[in-house]
Amino acid sequence: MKKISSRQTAVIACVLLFANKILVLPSLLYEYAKADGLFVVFLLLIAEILLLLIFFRLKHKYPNSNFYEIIKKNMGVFLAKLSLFLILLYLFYKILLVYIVSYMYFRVQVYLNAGFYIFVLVFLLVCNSCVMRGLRSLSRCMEFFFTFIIICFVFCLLLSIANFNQFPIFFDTNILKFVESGFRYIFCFGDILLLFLLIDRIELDKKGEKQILVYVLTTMVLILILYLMFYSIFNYTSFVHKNAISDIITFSYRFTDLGRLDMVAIITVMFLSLFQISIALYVFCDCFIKLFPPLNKVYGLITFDLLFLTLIFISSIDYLRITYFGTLVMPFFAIILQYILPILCLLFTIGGKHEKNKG
Amino acid sequence: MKKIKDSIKRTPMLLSLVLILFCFFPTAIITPSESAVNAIVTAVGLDKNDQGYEVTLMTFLSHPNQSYSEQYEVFSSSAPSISEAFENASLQIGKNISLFHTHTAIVSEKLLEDDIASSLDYLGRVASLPQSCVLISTNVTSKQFLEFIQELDKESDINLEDLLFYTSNYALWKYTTINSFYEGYYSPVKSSVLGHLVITEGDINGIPIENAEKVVGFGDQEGQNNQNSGGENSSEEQQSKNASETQNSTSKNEQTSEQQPNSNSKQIQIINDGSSLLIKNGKMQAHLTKELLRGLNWLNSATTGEVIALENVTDEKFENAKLIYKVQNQQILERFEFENDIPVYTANIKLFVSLLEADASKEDMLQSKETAYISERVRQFIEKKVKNEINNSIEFLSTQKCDTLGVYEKFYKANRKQTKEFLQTKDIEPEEFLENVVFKVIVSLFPV
Repeated sequence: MKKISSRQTAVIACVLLFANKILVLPSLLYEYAKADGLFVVFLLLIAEILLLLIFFRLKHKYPNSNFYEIIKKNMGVFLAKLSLFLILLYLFYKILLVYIVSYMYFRVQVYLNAGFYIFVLVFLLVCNSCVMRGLRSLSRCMEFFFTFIIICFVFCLLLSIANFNQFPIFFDTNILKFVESGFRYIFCFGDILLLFLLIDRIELDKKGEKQILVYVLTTMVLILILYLMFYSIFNYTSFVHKNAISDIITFSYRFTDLGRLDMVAIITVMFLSLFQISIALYVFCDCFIKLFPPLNKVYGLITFDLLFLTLIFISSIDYLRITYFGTLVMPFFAIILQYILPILCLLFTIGGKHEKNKG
Repeated sequence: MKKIKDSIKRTPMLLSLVLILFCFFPTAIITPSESAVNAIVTAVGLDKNDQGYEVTLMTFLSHPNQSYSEQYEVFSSSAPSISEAFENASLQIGKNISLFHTHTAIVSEKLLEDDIASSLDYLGRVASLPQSCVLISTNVTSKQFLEFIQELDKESDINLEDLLFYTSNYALWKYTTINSFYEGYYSPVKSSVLGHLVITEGDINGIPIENAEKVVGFGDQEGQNNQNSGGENSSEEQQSKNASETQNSTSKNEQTSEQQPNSNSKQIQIINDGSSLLIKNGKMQAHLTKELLRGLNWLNSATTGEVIALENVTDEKFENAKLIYKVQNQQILERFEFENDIPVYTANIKLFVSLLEADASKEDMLQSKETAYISERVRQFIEKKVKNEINNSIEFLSTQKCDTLGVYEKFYKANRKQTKEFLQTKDIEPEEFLENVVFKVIVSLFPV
């Protein structure tokens, strides 16, 4: 099996790190933790780095096995299947969340009259095609656009400096509110989990590990700067602004003569959403194949599309409902899958013999 | 067939592209042009009347013409709520109201008698309205204001956007957008500032228009009362007109102007001197005159270009001269400390000034031509003047309990524990903090 390079893994990790964090989350966190939302994000991003370190250790111990096989070896078939099933549901929710938030964003920023059906059709077609082409094509594509995405993101941050107001008041919430906000929106984090599910497709050495860490740390810093700028610019009205990356640059009327500067943000979000959904959908299909061995990824895609379209059109699910559901149910899912499962994986790496690397 | 299947399998993205084009192509062909279905609104005015709200829209309508001139029309519509008024306007114009290019929202002083946060709620929620939309107030009704601007645009090519852009950059000391209003509204001191543009009659330094009769409420005797009453008269006329019509009261300004008495001799002017309104709890608290504004501008390093006029200066080089200095740059160093449990705000202001103009005798003029001239006497004059202006402005803000300078927040950030204790000891609210602060201002002058 051909594997993806460590740079491609680093790019995937960075794209996943951006997921669900640069549009609505800053505003949602402000409602609970005020400007201390920045520290909530900081702590949860640190947790992602720890996840990444666990991933490296696991890869070191099991260089050839896939995630399902690792769990099966250590916990038995039933728990392995159960884990995959939970991950399948979890991924479905994550994709739905990224999709709904992106749709809301594009509708506001690009075209108010954009039909929901056309948006669904375009997104699904492109993402399905990406999955059909396979992980290597997808990661190459992400690698190709990554520099462009980062340049656009940094450009947005630089433009936001012109709108800088004053530093917000930090450490003004009590510890309970702080923890509560982190718990409620924990499902917006932990996307590094997807790397665990691609463990057997990744080629990794010591140099590669360093490269991934540098990429992830840089992305983490960029995300934190975004939060700092957002809270500094909007301060008491942060809860109103639901499209952080765009709002920080369109705030000032000094830029109105320069045309639609938010196009830079729109392009960034477009690529990020597309890649995030595609990679999550790929992992979804991978889990589906392992859960139902006789079926291939086409069945996985068809199942996903049918479920997705049914939910979208029948229940007319929107941003408010999905985040409400997320804050109600998903924290428990997230804690089990994002943190308990990787900790168990860490325990698997203690003792025993290392697998021989066949690759 | 097998070949097609193989190519699809090899390049699924190509199939996706074809399918997407297949979906978009027919819809793109049958969809009418944007300008045919959308009315592009560049400014929104909000007023209150008996029906609830009156929304006035300055709208760009695209007509084919050979002069490259942009044609704007002013429409208004009344309804119990702002969103309904927008819907009514849309029905009457026969186009969707597009707020993507709206750069200004205007509220009248009458509207500001009540909390405008709820009135602005629609504009805050509507996704298409740019965040950079400037929020200003006016002494007349918003409808009158926009009609005036329409005439001004026709006569002089000066438009509202240019006017506000200049004001925000060179005269005002704070942002005055919908967001900045809400920021003040939700802050602990509950105060914000709105830019204020006055439309009035008379020989004042403003931009006049000759076709005053076209503007509703002006050009007649009643229109002379520009403080609120002008707006009320206009509203009453509009309401009486509305009574005979349906609830939808969209009207073009040309139609209304026919009902107004003509008075070509009078000039109506717009006064843009950077004066503002102090807003507290969403209501108008007081007028911030340009003199008071100057005092606040000294505490803001972002504002430059202030001019200081000194009368009867007698020093080594001048005798009874009038000297005009321009502040080329200013730097402020602020300190927020508690001295003996009393909050003390220290501002060290460095002004870099140059002599812009000297009205003096021939001999004095010959002696001193350089711009970097500052004598000890001039230094004392300017320092005293600046300190006085700052003191007056702060005193005014304190009496109004409007801490728009953000002094409370700065103290809270610098000395959180002491600030909290101070509020508890004095048993006061954050909005009352400013009046308990001791201000120490040090002004230093540097010639450039």
